[in-house]
Amino acid sequence: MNCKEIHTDLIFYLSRELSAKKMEAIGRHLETCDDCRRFAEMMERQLQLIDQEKNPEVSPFFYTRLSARLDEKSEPTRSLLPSWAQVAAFSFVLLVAISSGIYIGKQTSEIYGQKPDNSLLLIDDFEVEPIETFLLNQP
Amino acid sequence: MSESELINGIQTGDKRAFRALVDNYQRMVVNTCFGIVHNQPDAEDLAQDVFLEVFRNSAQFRGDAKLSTWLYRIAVNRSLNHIRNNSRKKFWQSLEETFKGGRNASKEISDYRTDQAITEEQRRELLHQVIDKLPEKQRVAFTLNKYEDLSYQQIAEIMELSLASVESLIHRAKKSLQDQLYECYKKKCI
Repeated sequence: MNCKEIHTDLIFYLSRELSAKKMEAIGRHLETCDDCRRFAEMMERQLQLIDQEKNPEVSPFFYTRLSARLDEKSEPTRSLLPSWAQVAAFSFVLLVAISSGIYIGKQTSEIYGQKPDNSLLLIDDFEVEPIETFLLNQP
Repeated sequence: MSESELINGIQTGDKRAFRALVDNYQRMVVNTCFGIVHNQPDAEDLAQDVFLEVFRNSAQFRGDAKLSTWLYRIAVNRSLNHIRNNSRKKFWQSLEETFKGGRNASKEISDYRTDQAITEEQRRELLHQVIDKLPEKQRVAFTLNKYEDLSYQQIAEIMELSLASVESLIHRAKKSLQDQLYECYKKKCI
């Protein structure tokens, strides 16, 4: 067996899931190959961590906290729509409102025959009372 | 108190039955959540959510599966939702950091320093990273098998899959873990 073949099955060798023949072949290889043995040791150490960390000690106040939460009001009802759908729905409603506003505005101006007058009304004081007249009228 | 007595009690709002249920199953539920989220306070919060859901929706339990199977399913779903929400938060945080010109705080396996003695904490972090990189179904099957010591048959019932599918999921999960650890070994990350 070469190193590449060993690396394919090493994790199953460590959990003893291989046939007796394969187990023996890998075992023999590991006795002679330092690199594969070091990798096997590293992987074994990593997998052993699962056994060390599983079943963590549960807080003694677990039930007390749970009981307090149970006495609180029932969970707030969640929206039926996911957040992206809420945003899309809000945008759609906003767009409809703006379009309706523009449409209603146009309809109203047509009914009353009004056309928007964009021209500015200039107030020209000189036209009303030229400066000469003003000065002549001064006492 | 038998399983059916517990369920009947909870369905009628009996808090003593609920207490008995929590006492019987809290270790199992916390450990399942912990295997998926790798954080004890989060695992306990999620386990509390699981028991609250059981209490509030006990009428939905029809008894066609074991009580533990129902609890495992809720625990797994809650934990996966927690991870999905965290991933979304991390995505927005990393985006924010990118725009602010900050460095992405997420650690890649190759980031591990080689000039320092590797602490157990770093080894733990590596283990969690390689498990977290597994696809969801592989991660759930592997976690239930390794953290809860469940048989493939029990996992098949919880995940509502065939026995062959579970065998395949766990086989692929182990292969993937081995490949990731080998990459790390080659880079001398630990």
